[in-house]
Amino acid sequence: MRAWELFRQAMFGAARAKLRSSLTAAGIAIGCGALVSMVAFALGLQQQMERPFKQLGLLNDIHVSPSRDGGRGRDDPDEPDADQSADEQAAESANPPAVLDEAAVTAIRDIPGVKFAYPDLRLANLRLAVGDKSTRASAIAAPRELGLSPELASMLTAGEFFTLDEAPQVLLSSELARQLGFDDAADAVGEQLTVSATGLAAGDEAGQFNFTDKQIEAAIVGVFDVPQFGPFGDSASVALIPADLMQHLPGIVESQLSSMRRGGAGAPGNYRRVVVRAESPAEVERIAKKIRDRGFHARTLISELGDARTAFLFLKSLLAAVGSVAMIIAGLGIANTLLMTVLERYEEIGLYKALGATDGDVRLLFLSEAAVLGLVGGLLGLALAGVVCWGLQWGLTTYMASQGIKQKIDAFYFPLWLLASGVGFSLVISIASGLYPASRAARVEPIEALRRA
Amino acid sequence: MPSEDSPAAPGDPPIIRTRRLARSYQVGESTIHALRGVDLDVQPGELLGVVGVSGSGKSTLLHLIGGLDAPTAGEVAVAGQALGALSRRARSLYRRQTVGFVFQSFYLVPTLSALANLKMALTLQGVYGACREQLAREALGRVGLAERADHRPGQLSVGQQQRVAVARALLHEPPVLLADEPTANLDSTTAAELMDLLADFRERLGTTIVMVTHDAALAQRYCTRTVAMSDGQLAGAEAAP
Ligand SMILES: Nc1ncnc2c1ncn2[C@@H]1O[C@H](COP(=O)(O)OP(=O)(O)OP(=O)(O)O)[C@@H](O)[C@H]1O
Ligand SMILES: [Mg+2]
Repeated sequence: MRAWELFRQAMFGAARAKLRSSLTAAGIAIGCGALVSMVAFALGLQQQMERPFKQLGLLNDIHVSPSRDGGRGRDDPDEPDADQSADEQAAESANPPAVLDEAAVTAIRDIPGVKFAYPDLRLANLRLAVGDKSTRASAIAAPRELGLSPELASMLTAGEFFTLDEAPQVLLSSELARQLGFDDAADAVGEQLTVSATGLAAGDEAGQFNFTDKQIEAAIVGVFDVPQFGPFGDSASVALIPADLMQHLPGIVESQLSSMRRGGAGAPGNYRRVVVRAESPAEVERIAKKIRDRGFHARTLISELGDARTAFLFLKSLLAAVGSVAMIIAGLGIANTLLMTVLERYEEIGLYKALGATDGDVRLLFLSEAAVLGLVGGLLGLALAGVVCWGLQWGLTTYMASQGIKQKIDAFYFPLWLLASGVGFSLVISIASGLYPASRAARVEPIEALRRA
Repeated sequence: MPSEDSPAAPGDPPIIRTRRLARSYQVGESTIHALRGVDLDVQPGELLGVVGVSGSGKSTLLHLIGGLDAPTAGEVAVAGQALGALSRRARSLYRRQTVGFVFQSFYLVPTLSALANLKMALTLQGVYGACREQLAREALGRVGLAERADHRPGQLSVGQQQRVAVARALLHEPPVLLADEPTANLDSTTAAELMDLLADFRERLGTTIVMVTHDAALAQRYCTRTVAMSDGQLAGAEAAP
């Protein structure tokens, strides 16, 4: 109660020297604003980069491919074998090359923690037609279960994901929908689409291929925005086709042939690549190891992103350090202001002591004043950061629009914890800066101070 | 009243007691002896007048009794507390609870209104809320300044400032009031009013008052006893009427 009254008194104290207090608070505001906006920038950048991966659940993904040198699970097939121990090599050369076929995929699906696994099938040259409009597109097979992950919902601009039955369905990228004459993505949903594929298909006998041409009818169930990063590459004209439907289309063999040429276990029915999704990112490494133990090559995005995350951590620390320097300079400003205040109010302090204020009361009075300056400065800093970042964001958006880039980029990200720590740090810095002036004030001898008056 | 230094009933312990109290200042090469061994006993409820020429050490004595300054030798005890033995914090609490001080040059906070000056003092006493405002206004009313509550010291006359200082010293009804020339800047009528106020206070609450004054007539009229100081020492005591 007493402390609160002294704190109130401190607010009056700060309000008395308006210009000086405002300038000091402005110093803190600039420090806090700089710190918060710089960290927000690093966070925004990181989020911008990671969002599509998260959205697509890619952080949960393991990419499995047949091991080139036969039955060996390794992180990077291009790396020399120097780190492999001799007996490990001996054990592995005894194994025949592991075959990545449907049986292997089924076995992988049974590993605990695996949500689903599907062959990564791609078709480069499809023709899609709705009515009299048609366009070329590439297609990626997607398991029907993909729709169960909530992150995907944010990718969809219209419609739904695949149903879990075997209904013939496709999802179009918004670019494809536009090319097919649907200016509004929602109009495309529910339309019937003809998919024509041409290419080699496996014949009845092993090793036999036929050049065929096939058409299937499918319903457009949804339209999605192609994320900037991820499995889609540069193409904006992408369709997602359920894996079960994709199997029946010719042209897949070519991609399998290319893997054969690379020396892998490529044969009809063997997959070049299988995507395995874990229940959570935490299980990815464990599952990847199990898969490697089976003699496949397993690559995880999360470990590759790990480097990027370290880089971001570094960037954040660097920017935070720069911001902290600004803050510490502002703290010196507070120390200076308070020292001046102590000198200026020397007699007043002496009087308060003569009236019975303890050293602690006087210290509290000045620390409170420092805290008031820090709090006001910190809050102003947040406002400042908001205004500055809004301006930069506006500039960036305008610039990107002028360059013809429609992608919306949020360059800054302000999580609540960042705002709270901005204000908290301002408070800590100002209170720390107030320590010395406050103890100077606390040591004032009443009679000496009063004799000066 | 007996005319010795220690009057009243011998069994009654004095509320203020100084022994060989000395305070000297080192100014460059020379040493200034402001007090040279003062033995003074003040009984509870006395209104003691301290007179003496300028520079004789009256203010210094008051500061030492009030715990605002520390003696270079000797000791002071007030209400049973030996001030020399008190910690810094205990000395602050002593100033807060036991004594009220009216300074020779009042020492009001120039940036605060008369009322705010009193409220600040009450805040330090630990009084808040509506009751603080009321107490402060009452105290101003008692010294006849109810109308000037919102005026800052600079907007008040010297005599009015002095009355605000008196009001402030009496706010918490301390057992001991130390007043350094509280009537110095007042005309005789106002001075008499102020002295009536102090006397009334003393009568009502049994406050012990030590008052420095140059006004011999005033001391004659109001003080229960008067001591004279010269050159840092107590001279022979003068009897009160
Ligand atoms: N801080 C100080 N440094 C040096 N000398 C001091 C100091 N304070 C007081 N003195 C000296 O001590 C002596 C006593 O001072 P004090 O203020 O007690 O006198 P006083 O009796 O109150 O005088 P007045 O009637 O003018 O107020 C004076 O000679 C003064 O110059
Ligand atoms: Mg004096």
